[in-house]
Amino acid sequence: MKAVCWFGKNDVRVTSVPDPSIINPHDAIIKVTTTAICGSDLHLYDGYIPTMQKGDILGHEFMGEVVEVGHSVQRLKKGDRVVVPFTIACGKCFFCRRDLWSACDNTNPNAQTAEMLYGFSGSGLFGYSHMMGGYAGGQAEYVRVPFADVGPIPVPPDLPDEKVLFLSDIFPTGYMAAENCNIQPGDTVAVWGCGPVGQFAIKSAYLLGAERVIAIDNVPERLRMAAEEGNAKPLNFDDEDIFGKLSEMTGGMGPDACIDAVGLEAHGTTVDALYDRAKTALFMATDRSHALRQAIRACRKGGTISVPGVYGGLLDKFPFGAAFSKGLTFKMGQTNVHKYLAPLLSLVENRRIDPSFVITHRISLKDAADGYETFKKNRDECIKVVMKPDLN
Amino acid sequence: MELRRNRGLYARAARHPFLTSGAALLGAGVGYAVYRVVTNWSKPEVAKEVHVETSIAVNKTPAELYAIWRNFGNLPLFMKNLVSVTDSGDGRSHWVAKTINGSQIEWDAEIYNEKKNELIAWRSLENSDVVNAGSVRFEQGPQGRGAFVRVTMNYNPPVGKAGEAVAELFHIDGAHLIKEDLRRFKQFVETGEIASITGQTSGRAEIAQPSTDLSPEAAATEKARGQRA
Repeated sequence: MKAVCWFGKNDVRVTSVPDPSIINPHDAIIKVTTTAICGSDLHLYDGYIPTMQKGDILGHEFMGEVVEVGHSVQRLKKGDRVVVPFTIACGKCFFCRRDLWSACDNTNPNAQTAEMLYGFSGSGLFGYSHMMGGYAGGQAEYVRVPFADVGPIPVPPDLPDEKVLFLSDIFPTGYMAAENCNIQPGDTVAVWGCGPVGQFAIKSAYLLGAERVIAIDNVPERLRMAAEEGNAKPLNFDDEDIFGKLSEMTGGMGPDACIDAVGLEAHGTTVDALYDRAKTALFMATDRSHALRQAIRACRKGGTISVPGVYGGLLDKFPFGAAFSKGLTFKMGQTNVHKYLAPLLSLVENRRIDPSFVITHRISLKDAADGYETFKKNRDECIKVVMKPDLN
Repeated sequence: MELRRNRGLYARAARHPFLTSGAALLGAGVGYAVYRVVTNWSKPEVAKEVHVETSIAVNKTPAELYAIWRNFGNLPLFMKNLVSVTDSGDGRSHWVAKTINGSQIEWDAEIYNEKKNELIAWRSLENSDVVNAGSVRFEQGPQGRGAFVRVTMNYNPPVGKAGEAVAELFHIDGAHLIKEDLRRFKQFVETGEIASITGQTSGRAEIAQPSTDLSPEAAATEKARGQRA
């Protein structure tokens, strides 16, 4: 089959690889009908995530048709059309039973590696480094899905792929980010980063009752989408003093909740970038966190910082004094996708939201290398790339 | 998890009559080896030189976990280096393990302490390739937290024919390996399988064809299925 493989920084190739096979009894094999490039795939593409190996198959947003099931699979059957969560969860452990699916104890075959770095390991993830399990991803014609009775959710035939695909990651991720804000009537929510997760965080914040959402970015088409599709107030950080503007818009109080939908590759000045590079070489810091620093400073006293953006290692110059002094609450983490699948599918079925609004590019899987480059460089007003294996 | 070497080792070696002169000039390892050979000749060994303790929380009751563990034939399903354990039914059992270079080591063990649903403690018998003793306890965890499985192992790193070959099994990596075996035990009893990517497809050139051989994890799962059926 054809699959998108990682070969190093800025080097992904569509390669012929062996078809996947059933390895464990709860596995299923899915024929992928639609997959997507996630903003977090760019962290891999940019070489920020350790423990990648040349030849790893990428992709954690995908859906398709079940073509084979292991002998212990009971719920799924051949022919089912399913969306697959990017986190792999067993459904049986302490964490799964508490809806903390992304903290599953039993799905990372390389848990010891993550434990060395983090103390404890989260769940296995598709196509996201060997520290996170090393599972082959879904930017491919076929993919092996472990614990097939636990994760994949069947979707109704009348909903096209593009309306349900993002249940795999970015819709639940944006939704959990908004849910983590504990939104109360009258609340203002500020969202740093208007990529796809930011866009879903904006919509979700309104769905959860926010009075007003403010969108912060410097990419014009993203801000336009946030305003037109998300009804957010756009702020371009190239043009505006963000702290001053947020303060002014909230009567000098600051936003009730701030969402960092940027993560470890926040854009900074050249001096900062050099500084971060030096720190990285010494393993004293690995992540750039301008957005998070700004959010901490701007947030109102007693407010909430919600972090759906991915961080991998160590932060430097983290304004913990401000966070302490203002009594902020921090909520973050990999998305507990399984928890949100059914309720968010209902929102799509009831036409409360059409997640396909973020799609700007539709390409064939064989053109994935171009897709990564276009997405990375924000070329051609690119916000979200979906790929189809059967498109030519 | 804890791993410590017995600090009295060199002191005891130096007191041995064969080592009273010149031993201080020998490398510690050589002195240790001679000491071990000498003591092997003279009396049964007690496993006490390396001590490992580790534990894991498992979402099952102590009774369920005890039942799985007490059926020693199950142990190779999740203990990576064990080939087989044969229970002869009189409290004694025969253990076969594979070493890092593919050879096998064997020993007989006896249960010397047991409390149903709570504790199993065993020790190797004379003429073992590896002198070892251990125990596993199954404690009721706080509400909603299943059971805590605590394993204690003592063993003497082997010298002579087993030598370096068993390093992976019973030496510096011992604590790590036991921890990983416990993790596999947890996965196996909680989910019915052991998480694995062994044999999966990738774009690496060395993988020309998907593996038709079962991964160790899948083989364990298959074997378990056969036993249950």
